[in-house]
Amino acid sequence: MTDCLIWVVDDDADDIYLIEQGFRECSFNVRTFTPPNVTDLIPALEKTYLKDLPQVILLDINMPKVSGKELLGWIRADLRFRHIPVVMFTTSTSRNDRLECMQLGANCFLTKPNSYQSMVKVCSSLATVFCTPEFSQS
Amino acid sequence: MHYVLAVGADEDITFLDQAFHAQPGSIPVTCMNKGLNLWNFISGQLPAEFPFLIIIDQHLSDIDSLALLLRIKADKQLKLIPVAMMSGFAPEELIHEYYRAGANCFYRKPLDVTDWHHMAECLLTLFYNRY
Repeated sequence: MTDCLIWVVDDDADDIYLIEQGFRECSFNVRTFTPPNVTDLIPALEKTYLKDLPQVILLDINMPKVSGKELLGWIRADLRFRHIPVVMFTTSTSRNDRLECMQLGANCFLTKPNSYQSMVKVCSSLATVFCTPEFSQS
Repeated sequence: MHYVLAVGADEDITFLDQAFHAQPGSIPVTCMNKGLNLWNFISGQLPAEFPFLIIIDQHLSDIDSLALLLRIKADKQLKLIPVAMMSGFAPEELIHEYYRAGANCFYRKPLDVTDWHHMAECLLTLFYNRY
């Protein structure tokens, strides 16, 4: 089973734990990684460039040190990482947030689920759509 | 609006249509078999009439699917409609090119009916927020 590397960029440890648990329930072998500091996202990507880039990044919006929208803008502006799907994964239900993130180049905008069952469903859908092991074989 | 717009080979579009109809609420699919027909259709729609998702087969019979994607994403109003590319096979660098062009996702074509239904459910979860 090919594994799938998903980066979870969030400042809330409880949310990170729930997301990781959600992915563990999937039939995909998902590896999650969370940068120790959200402001280190770009340096972390640079460190793994050409070696082990994530297949998708889950990005929170409301973080104290740096906004997820700002991070999204940085990723989309950098040709080296522009191809990486970025899914906004946030507690926000704001239509304006959704619109702004999609205009900035987010692939998808998801509000964090309220139940564990829904979290598993979302994680399974993310892995199914964004982790395509057959494609990674040249 | 609550429908999917899709373009691809007849057989695949049939499976896609059936898969979305089988979902709770029976999501309608407007099907095209040519990329230009899709463009003519969508470019004539008002925003209130836009689909919530466009699905494009990477191998189209009439035009280059990447060119179609670029045309959609270059339009100020159309660019916010999520576009899912589907393909039987594509090398990694080509997939990256579609993502750089603005594809919202790029997934492997399902192999059987169960997989088609599961993919429809996943796409509804992510792009219709059904969860």
